[in-house]
Amino acid sequence: MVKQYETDVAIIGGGATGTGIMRDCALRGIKCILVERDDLASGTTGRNHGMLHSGARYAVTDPESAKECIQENKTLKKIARHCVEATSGLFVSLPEDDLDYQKNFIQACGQAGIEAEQLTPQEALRLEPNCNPNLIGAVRVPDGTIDPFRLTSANVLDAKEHGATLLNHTLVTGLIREQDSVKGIHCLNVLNGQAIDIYAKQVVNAGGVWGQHICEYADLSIKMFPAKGALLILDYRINNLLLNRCRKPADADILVPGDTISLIGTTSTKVPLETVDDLHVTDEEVDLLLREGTKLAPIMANTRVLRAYAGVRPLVSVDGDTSGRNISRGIVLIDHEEKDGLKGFVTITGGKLMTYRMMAEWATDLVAKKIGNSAPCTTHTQLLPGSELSLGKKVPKHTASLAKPVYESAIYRHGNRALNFLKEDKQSQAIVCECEMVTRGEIEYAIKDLNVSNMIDLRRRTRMGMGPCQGELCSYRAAGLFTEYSQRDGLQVSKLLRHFLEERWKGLKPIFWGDALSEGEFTYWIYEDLMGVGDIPPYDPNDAIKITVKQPAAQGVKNEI
Amino acid sequence: MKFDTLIIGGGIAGLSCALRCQQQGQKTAVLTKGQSAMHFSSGSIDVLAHLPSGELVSNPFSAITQLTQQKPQHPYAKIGAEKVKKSLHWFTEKMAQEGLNLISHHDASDEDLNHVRLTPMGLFKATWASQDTVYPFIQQNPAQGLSHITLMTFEGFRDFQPELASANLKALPQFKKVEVDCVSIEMKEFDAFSRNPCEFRSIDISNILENEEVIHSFARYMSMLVKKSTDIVVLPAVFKGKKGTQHINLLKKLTGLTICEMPTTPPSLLGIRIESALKQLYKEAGGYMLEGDEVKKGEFKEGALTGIYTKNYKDYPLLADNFVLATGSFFSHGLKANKTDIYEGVFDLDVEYNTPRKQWRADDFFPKQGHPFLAFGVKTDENFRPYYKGTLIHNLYCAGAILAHYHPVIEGSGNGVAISTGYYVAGKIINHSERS
Amino acid sequence: MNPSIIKKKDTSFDQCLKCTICTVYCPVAQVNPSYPGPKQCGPDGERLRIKSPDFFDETLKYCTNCKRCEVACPSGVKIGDLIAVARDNQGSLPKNPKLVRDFILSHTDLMGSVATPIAPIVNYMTDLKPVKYLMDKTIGVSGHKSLPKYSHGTFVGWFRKNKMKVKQAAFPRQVHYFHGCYVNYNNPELGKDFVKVMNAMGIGVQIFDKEKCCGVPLIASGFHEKARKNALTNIDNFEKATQKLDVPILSTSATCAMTLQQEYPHVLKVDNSKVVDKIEYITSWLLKAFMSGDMPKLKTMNLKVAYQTSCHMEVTGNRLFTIELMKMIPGVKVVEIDSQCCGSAGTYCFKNENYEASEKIGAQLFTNILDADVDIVVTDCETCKWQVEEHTQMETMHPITLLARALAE
Repeated sequence: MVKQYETDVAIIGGGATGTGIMRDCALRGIKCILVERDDLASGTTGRNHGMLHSGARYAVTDPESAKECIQENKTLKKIARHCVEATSGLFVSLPEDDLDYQKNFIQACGQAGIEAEQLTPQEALRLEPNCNPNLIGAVRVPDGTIDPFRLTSANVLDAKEHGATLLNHTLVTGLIREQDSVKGIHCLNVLNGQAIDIYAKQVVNAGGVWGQHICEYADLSIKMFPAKGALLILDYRINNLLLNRCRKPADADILVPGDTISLIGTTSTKVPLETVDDLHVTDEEVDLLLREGTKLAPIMANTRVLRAYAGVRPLVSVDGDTSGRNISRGIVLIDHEEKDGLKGFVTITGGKLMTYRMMAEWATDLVAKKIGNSAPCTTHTQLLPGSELSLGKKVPKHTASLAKPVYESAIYRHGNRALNFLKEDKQSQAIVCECEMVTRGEIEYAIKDLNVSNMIDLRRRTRMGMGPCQGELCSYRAAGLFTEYSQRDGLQVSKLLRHFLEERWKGLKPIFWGDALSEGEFTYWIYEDLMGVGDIPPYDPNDAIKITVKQPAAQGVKNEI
Repeated sequence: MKFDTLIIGGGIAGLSCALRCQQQGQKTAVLTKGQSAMHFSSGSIDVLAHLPSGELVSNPFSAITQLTQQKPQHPYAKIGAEKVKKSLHWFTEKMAQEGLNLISHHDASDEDLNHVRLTPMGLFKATWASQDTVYPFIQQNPAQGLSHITLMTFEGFRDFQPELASANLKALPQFKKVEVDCVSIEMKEFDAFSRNPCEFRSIDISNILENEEVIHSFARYMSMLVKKSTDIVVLPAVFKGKKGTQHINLLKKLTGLTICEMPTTPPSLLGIRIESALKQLYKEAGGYMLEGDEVKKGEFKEGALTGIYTKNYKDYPLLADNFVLATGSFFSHGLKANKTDIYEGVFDLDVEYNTPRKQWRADDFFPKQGHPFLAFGVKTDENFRPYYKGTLIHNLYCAGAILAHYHPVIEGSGNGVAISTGYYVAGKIINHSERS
Repeated sequence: MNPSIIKKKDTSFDQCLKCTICTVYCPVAQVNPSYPGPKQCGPDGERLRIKSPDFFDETLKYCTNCKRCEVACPSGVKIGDLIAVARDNQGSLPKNPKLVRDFILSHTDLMGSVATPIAPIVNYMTDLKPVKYLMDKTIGVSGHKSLPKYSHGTFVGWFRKNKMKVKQAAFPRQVHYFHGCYVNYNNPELGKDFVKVMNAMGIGVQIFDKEKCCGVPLIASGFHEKARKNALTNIDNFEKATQKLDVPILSTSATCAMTLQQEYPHVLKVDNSKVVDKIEYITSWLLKAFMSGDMPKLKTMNLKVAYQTSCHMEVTGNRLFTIELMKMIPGVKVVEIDSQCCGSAGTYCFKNENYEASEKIGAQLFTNILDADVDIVVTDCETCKWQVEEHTQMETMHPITLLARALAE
């Protein structure tokens, strides 16, 4: 009835931190299982700027954070080459900004070890032609962008190849406790209702904002103060360098290029914990993002907006202070044995995407010590799978039958691991998602090898449906392939298709005008009028578990934004 | 250049109107910015599938009485059931002249009843007339008279996924006893194109199938792969134009099988077939097609539109006694939406819509009542003439998706409204011209 | 007075709804499996190319620049322009003997000036079977094609020798004439017909002091820098000439007119705004004149004419003017052949990698023309004329030539 696993470390949470720990453990020879209630990077990790900070943004206000950033920036550029783009960034001063701040800024960067080069407006515009031409000053820093989906996927891949196990779509329903020890976790596979018990020497709570619920299972309290941030995705890369405002960090002052798009963010609104699974981007947030973003790059006023999304920052109160005043974004590592007398349980939270590896290292150091493993950490030197391109790009030449953009897109996304699916046969070369050049071969690879259970998972691993048409052209095609490559039958996949379209819709609603409206109308005509998808019963992710679990799951995986 | 009537918009509404005017002796021109929405349509003529109350409709024309009670501002309510019926029959007659037979039922029983068409998801949608190469399933029981259906696709063709269709089809209670199987054809004639990772759409397959020899080869494969017991072979719509219809008939003859063409994701060859037939009739009647052009400005004088200036003809106006605006919905840029408002894209005519923006769409993507924005459109009088800042433009008429107060998707009335309003407005123009 | 370079980029790909309509109307996509199609090469590809030039695909060169994708696009995406500009920014010239061919085919001024003095010899040589074979095997000029014949003496030569500048200035009204390479090096007769028609209306024709090839074959073969130089020279000349004499600039070439008006700002980024409103294709200008009563006396022709719409007449909408103009010639019955590409696409069809595709593209057109059972074929485009003549053996002429013949004595 209940499936049982036994391992050294059980990790809760498939975001950057959790997957980073999974990899670190695996590379040190520690047996581990990662449990994620939805999918990799479905939480905060997949809903931020995707910025590879140079740390410059924090140089003036939080120098410690800044130092950590620049260190990890350099490391990630080395080990996660195919997940990262070293675009560099500009901190731009507009006429209303104080140039004194720039002076301070450059100095603070220097102190933190961040290369900061002062540029004239003309030099800046030459580097980034779409930058606001009215700028009065600019500083160039080694900012970059990082793709969180690729990053988490690569970490998991490496971990799996070193013996670890991933259980996604698996909800933690409780901790296995024995007096003053945590012995493991009770879980539930939400897809098939299978109850699972994982016995582990150490349990790591890397659940981010949702980690509060995990701690509650242990009658512990860490107070999360989720702060919602809204962002907009633009149709194409209007900038190739990151654009920041050279002033005290405020709302909507980062314009980040990422793969084929640019995004503008973000805002900050405190939200109650109960709402974090059902966030909506408001009209005011949309207006603010457009207004402030246009100040950085005026062309944004005429650029198509593809979608809006929101994530929550995992702000945590450090020492039981419930007022919310003493909240840090710094890294919080709690050894519950030390703090609360509860053995076998550790929480790691806070931090930001790009310091994930460091956070993972600290957490792994802690649990490794507890279980008596003294292998050194190698995650800062070992290349992630896909980044194993030797310097100078000695990748195999693409074949005549494989179009260049198709080949390049595959390599861009998967690095050298793209060779797993870049084959000669015409079938695997057929393009399914034409906006992002995702082929049938890539989809097959993702479904079979990358823990893909539904079309949203597929989208994260391949970028399918993330282009201008937001799935209009490719959803039906991809759904068909799902029946072919996965264990799911046509009826289930039809529901997944509807589910995917509903998920894409959520991001369109807040920005539903202009081209987004035209595209939405087109998609609606195809999928409702031509196909009749509205007659397919909606997909309820809790379908399977409704039968087996009577009480409402602590946090049923409701439809997110 | 002066015309009797100038039609702006070359979709099914605009072309229907233009054809009627031209064939009644008027000098007309159709100006169109790009190709029409028929390129994504099912290729069937949907008149009324559901009443606004949600009730399923069996005779779309007689249902117009109930419709008028539920929605007095609906375009059908303005036209009246008799005239709607007349216009649709006129349309099917015209199509028949071009060799495109639109039928409601196999056995020519009540030709005014709806049937259902099969969708690429294996579901059914009610519609009034389909091309005779599309099998008209009986609305009350689509499985009637059928014991075996074969879903056929081409190896590598991404836009028809028979496994999905088969699963949903088999799940329908009426199809419990019907055998459904999936077959995939691979022919060396398709090799060259399927090697191209970017193109292997319905249009590409249709180019290869234009060759009669390939049809013979195809027939041989079909006969080998398809079981003799099958009642219908469902094929994605991969046959282009008039020749395409001929080739399907040839295929039927060679194999002895009943073939059902099914529209898939764009480009829709079934829709294109209708558009080509309309354009052909129009050109033969002497009409002018001005394609790839766009109206930049209209010249108004005393509540009348006197001329238009276009991108191509710049400061050389196109003049006409009457104008028709049939520029379509949002994806055709007939209607446009900015952050706060909906507006008409050519002349900024008065539009009826909800505010604020949140009210334009529903929360779910597939809402039971449909999305509100599909029912937005230009405000018109009982003759479908629009207003500009409250002033009636008495020689400008609107037809098709640019109109308000109907929901083409939920009602299943898209082509019906387009054709009937295009026809009706042409009638108004002709009468008016004859009188003056 | 130097024309400026336009900095603003075309972002119309942003509006693409991925409707796939363009792929239906692209003549190349229909016949050439190696061509990724307008959607992929245009708006889809542009988003990727912005990321990195690594995403540029050499197969963009199979685009004929017919612009039929733009005519079909309901969303206003300038697909043809996107492809042409991408080739300018990220394309490269062939690193093999085909470069020689491309140079010869596209540098029409240079080749024209060299060839016309010895035209009979050049024409004879290029028709020889062994020469054609050699060109096919070495530099890639299709052996199936006959290269266009050069005229023994240029139009400009004739104009100057006959002291036309002074003679034409005597007329009460004037126009500037952009003669283009075809009239100058291949068919001065057309230029003479044009002068005849204009003179019959009491209008004198002036040519520019220094006219360069409009640049369209250079753009087609990837010599964008040279095309841009030509464009800057031409626009500078236009500005100077119209300052001295503010009258229209007329062209008898459908493609030259389109290039001067649209390709200059959209593809070459040369600002022609000061003169663009003065540039007009001949039938557009003539029809407006005729309709206001300003027309020469015409005799009855009694001809059934098939009209072939060239691609650039389709995209500019100018086809309407040619058709209406011909209808104004007494006795002329115009049969409009279904508008489609003839397959020649300028210099495209002479390249052996394109020959097969170009034959397939035009096939239906030639059948339609022969089925129409007409006396002559009229088309505005010179390369359409060569293509139609070659494949139908029918007499094919420019509307101005027809008009010149229709002039009453």
